[in-house]
Amino acid sequence: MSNDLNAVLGRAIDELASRDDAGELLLAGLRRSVRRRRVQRHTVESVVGLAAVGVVGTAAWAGLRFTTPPPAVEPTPTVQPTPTATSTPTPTATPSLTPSPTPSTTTTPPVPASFGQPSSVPVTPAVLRSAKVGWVLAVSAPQYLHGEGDVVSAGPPVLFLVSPAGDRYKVLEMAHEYWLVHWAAGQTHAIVQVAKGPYRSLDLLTGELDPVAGITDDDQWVGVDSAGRTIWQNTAGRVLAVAPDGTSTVLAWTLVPLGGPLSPNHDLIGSGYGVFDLKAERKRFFQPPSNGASCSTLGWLSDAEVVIGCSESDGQYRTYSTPFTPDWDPVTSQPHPQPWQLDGIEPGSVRWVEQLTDGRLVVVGTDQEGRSTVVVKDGSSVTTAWRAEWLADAHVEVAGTLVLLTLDTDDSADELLVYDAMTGTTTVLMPVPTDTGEEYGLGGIVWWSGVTSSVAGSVR
Amino acid sequence: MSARWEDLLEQVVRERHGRLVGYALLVCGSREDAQDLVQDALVATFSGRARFTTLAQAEAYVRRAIVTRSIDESRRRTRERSAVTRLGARPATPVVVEARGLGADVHAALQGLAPRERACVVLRHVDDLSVRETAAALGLSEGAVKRYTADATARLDAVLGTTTTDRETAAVRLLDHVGGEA
Repeated sequence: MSNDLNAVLGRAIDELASRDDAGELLLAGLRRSVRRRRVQRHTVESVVGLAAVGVVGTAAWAGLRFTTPPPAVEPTPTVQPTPTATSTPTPTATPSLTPSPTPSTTTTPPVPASFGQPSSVPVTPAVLRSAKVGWVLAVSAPQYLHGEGDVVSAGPPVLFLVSPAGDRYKVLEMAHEYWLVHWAAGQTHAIVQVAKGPYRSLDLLTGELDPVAGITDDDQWVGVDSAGRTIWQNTAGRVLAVAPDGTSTVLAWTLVPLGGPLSPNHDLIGSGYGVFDLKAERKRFFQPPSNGASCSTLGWLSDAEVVIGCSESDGQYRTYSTPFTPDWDPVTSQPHPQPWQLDGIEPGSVRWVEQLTDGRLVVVGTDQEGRSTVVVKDGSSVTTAWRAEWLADAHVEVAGTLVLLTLDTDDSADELLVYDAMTGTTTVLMPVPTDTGEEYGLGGIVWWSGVTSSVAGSVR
Repeated sequence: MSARWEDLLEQVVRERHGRLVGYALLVCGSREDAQDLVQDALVATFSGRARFTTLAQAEAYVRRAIVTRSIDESRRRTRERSAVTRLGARPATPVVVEARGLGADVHAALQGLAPRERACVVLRHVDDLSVRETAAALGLSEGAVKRYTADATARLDAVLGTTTTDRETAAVRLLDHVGGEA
């Protein structure tokens, strides 16, 4: 046994380590303490930020007086339906959902159930059925931090339908919060996941949940193939295709999870050291770039060439593009992966590549400064669709020539935007709640969550 | 914003809390102090601006916070002892009883070092931080880090019978002696 000081100190830590499991009480206390600190920090920084905005605003105004050009990509404000004439009547909050206002000598109105929800108009069946590719279903479940770090919901989650122009329609209030999984644009049913559990078919007109035909509660969502079949995989590795009429077919058994974006023709999807061909019902393989490399599919350059990210034995993570063979061929005559990179994205930072319907690529990664970045690549030309200004990350979904961006920041609720790759404009679909709650006696709240789930309407 | 840090905090607490307490025991006097120190470090780490996405990164931040806060804590206690002494009273010294074995021996040996020496040894020899990184973490000069580390490892090697392979510090000690600072 080594008597080196480093090794002895390491063994001492093992001996001195606490054997008691950290209890729920400890965890709950830590969560509250961290939330409280974050609220305090956010409050201080908001004040500082306001002062800074004042300075920047003045500078910008002064600049506009003498110079001209607006930014190339200017976020378009959300279209705000007129609340007075058409917005949904605000339901009265039930006592169980309404946080108690701070005792005060002045009577303050109760916090309404719609507190934090964005403005909207009621959806009609006609609007729902006319929704096209790129329209979005989004769940908004506003929660705010209050007092000692308590997380408060004023009302139930609400499902909205939002057009690419930012017109919002209230679809229904939800009894529970569901994760939106799939919706074919214009359909009156969507597939949702209930509390990270089983998948259900949600009737968008009535709110009723029904089992999804052809699957069991063990099946996990994979995607939709070129024939419009929904693809599922269960924990035993069974890959299932369910046709629109509900008939199911077992395509294969593979314990390697299927994942990543589907190929442009929707017939291929990543699966460990290869891709799974949903049409041919078999796996195809690519050659690892080096011995011992562990690779996964990040996206597609075409239906015949895949982008992979590989952790290699030298400890580096690299991005490659590679074709794949039609059949299993272990000999080294397979094409060798080539390093793949593009301007504006750090090599090795790529984590998602997906094609727009016009063939351009949407690539997600980080720039040289480590900021999350989304670009659109057209041949050798690269256009930045979004770049994080601060501690933020973006989750991306592609629909037609639209790029949906869910912005996830440390210090505020998420925000849903859409970048139109045809016009280069960005529109807010689901804003971060900004209500202060002062009129309800709430002081110093921080919005903890807003939009919690979204799915773009697809062709199939 | 809620999900990520909460999930990671839960993961750190469930999977690494016990070992973090063991780590904290290297730089503080009792198990109770170590548990308090770990909690403070967890709150400070997850309340701060640092962005980390993996369990390993989070643990590294928490460890750094444990060591730096242990020095702050020792400074506070020094001030308290001075005040109590001025008032003519004797401070209550916590009695630490740990199980016998290597862990107890190492803990006792480390308790014989000054807080900054302990911090330097732990960051350099447990976390493998460079002299520069250790200096930045503790707000010390690189020369001070080398001197503290050299003094501390020499005493630990003598008490524990260990060997220290990193010999960069020998020359520094010599220079200090030449300069007449030792």
